[in-house]
Amino acid sequence: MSNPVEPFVMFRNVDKSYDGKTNVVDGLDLDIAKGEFLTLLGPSGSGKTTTLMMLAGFEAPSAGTIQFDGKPITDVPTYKRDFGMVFQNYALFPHMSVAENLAFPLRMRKVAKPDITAKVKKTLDIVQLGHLADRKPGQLSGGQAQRVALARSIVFDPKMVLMDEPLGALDKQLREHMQLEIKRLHHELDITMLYVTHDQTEALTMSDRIAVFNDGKIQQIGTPSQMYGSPQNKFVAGFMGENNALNGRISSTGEDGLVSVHLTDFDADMKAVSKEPLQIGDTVKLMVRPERVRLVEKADAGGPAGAFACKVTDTIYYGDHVRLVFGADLNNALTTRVPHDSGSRDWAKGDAVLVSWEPRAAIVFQP
Amino acid sequence: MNGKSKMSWLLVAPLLILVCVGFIIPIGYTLIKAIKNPEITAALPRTTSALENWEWDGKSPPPEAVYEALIADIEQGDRGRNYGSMTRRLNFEQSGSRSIMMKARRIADKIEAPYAVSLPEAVPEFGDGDIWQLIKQNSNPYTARYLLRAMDLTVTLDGSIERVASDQAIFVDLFKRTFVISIWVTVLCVFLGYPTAFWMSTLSDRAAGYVMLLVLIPFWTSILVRTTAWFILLQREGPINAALLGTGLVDEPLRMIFTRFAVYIAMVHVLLPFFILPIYSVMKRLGMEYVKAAASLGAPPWRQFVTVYLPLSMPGVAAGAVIVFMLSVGFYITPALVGGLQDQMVSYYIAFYANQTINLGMASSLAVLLLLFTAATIAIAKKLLPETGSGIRA
Repeated sequence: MSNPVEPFVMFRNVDKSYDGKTNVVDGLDLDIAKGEFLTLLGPSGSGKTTTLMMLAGFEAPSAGTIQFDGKPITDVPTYKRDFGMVFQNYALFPHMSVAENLAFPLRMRKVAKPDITAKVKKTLDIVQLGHLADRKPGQLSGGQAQRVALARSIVFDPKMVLMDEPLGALDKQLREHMQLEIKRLHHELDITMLYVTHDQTEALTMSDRIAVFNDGKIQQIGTPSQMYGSPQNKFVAGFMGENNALNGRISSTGEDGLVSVHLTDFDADMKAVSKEPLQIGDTVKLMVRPERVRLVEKADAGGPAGAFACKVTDTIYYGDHVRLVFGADLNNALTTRVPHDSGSRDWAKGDAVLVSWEPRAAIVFQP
Repeated sequence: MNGKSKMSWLLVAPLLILVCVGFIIPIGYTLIKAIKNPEITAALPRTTSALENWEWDGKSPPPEAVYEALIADIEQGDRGRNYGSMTRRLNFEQSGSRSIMMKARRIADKIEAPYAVSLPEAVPEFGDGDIWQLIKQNSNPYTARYLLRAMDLTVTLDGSIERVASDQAIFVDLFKRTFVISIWVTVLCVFLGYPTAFWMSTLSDRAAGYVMLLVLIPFWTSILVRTTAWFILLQREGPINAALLGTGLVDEPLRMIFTRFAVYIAMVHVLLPFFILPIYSVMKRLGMEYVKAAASLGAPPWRQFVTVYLPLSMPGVAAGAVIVFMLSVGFYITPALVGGLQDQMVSYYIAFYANQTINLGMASSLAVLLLLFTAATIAIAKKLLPETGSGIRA
């Protein structure tokens, strides 16, 4: 092993299959460092939840090993693993009050009564729910139930916290608020967290690292800026944030990893980064983020090098910004964002503009 | 009342009418039958009103006017059904009264006034006050005597309540037996049905469908057929005994039919689906989510069950147990067919009084007490069951 420090959690070559034919998780290698906030991100059925459930002990891997703190845990039952867990539907015990729910893991660990009371109170204060201790879960709002579930997962000082789409049931505002709250808890408690979500914004804002799953495999793992800024394949580029995917053909390959792409729908040649070995004539998808697309009015003489002329086919009002759509075919259209306060003019349908982007802002992938 | 609510009343009207005609009226009628007492006054209107001012002192007979009233009632009454019912009614209170009253009717047109002398000469029982007191005591249009008798109590001539002779005291034991059998049947159903329902709730929908079919097929079969099947299976010459003898496990056939054992086995078989169905639906809804949560919080398997799964599935247990208990206290056919005389339940005697002796008062009284005791048992059970709070969220 080249790694001097053994990772906290280590998946090695883990397979999981329910029917013996298809692997839901396929040859998974994954390391989680101590104190890290790692998010497993992917569409439903990508294997991210199964990975979490295997770490929690609810599912056994079909092949491979999972180590925790240097020891294999595949044969350790869930109740001995000492991981806090937040479930999608919270799974608060409906027959117990909020305080009893929090006391439950402490009772199971035979903590002394007065210590339980103190610890429950302290933890409820951390999530600012001290006043709801005697409520039953059925009497809580979604956000409150979420906090109680969170509090219950940390009250017994677990070795790590696993969260399975914990914010899925909340509305957007509450979700954003809870994202900050969980992030705060992570810092305050200095605890390792494994978080599963299908929401890429959530993943970007909360994580130290993100692992993008698809088809049971990790497509790419890295920091949010690595994931957003330099996706390694088309799936990650499309899944992380918004992206334009334009049809093109390689017209020339150059040194320093840049290629020239002829954009079929716009009849223009643009430069882009290539991460795959591509030949001249290969059909590709050119991915460029809407916010990296630059616009210049066509009246301005010249314009930046490599710009191509285009007409606005549609404008969509978003409140904080306006999106401009170019190209006749909506499925292969190019969109760009224009903020309101840029001092620039208001664009309208039919306006002629010059479109360009930094060569390093665009990436080509095989379709 | 607006059009919409008129419409909804119209829609529920058939059900309301059915409930009234098929349920409330017959049950109300039965309840009233338990305390109605029309027979004596219907047959002997003059005698009962003449007796109103007479006080029984333990020995002396009533005055001549009462005797005249009795003769008038016999001669001017319809001499038919009313008189017969009256004699049966008196005989229920005091055996032997029927023949005394019959004799009085036979000699009524042969004797002359003063009847206070001639009637006791022909029928000596009319010489003292006892038979008259019996008539007077039972001339009230309503009576508690049937209900008292259903609790093995009776009213003496001086009006005090005491226990009936031990050879006639059968009803207290009968009620005890009915409840003991019902409680055991319920307990057996809980212990057999709970694990079965749990197992079913963990199966895939497809597999659970097949198992459910196994539960439901007996459920769809008539109780009579199922009980008869047990009757055949448990016989001395039946297949079970044949198998036991064949394998050499026993030397002579076991006595299984007409025993309490047969009653339990047949009743549990009949009632088990009633327990499994409600508890299965609760468990299906409950799922394994809370058990998983408990496991993640450090609860070993038995504590996951005791602290989380059991309390959350309790509403289903309670619902199933109440249904099984209520059905089993009213069981008739099964104990009647496979049980012995000592295994008969209250319903057997209700049927006996209703069909054999046509004593509707007694049949109704047993029914009323059964209803009251059952309601009380369920009320107590509800109090004792742990509060499950808001239960499972849908």
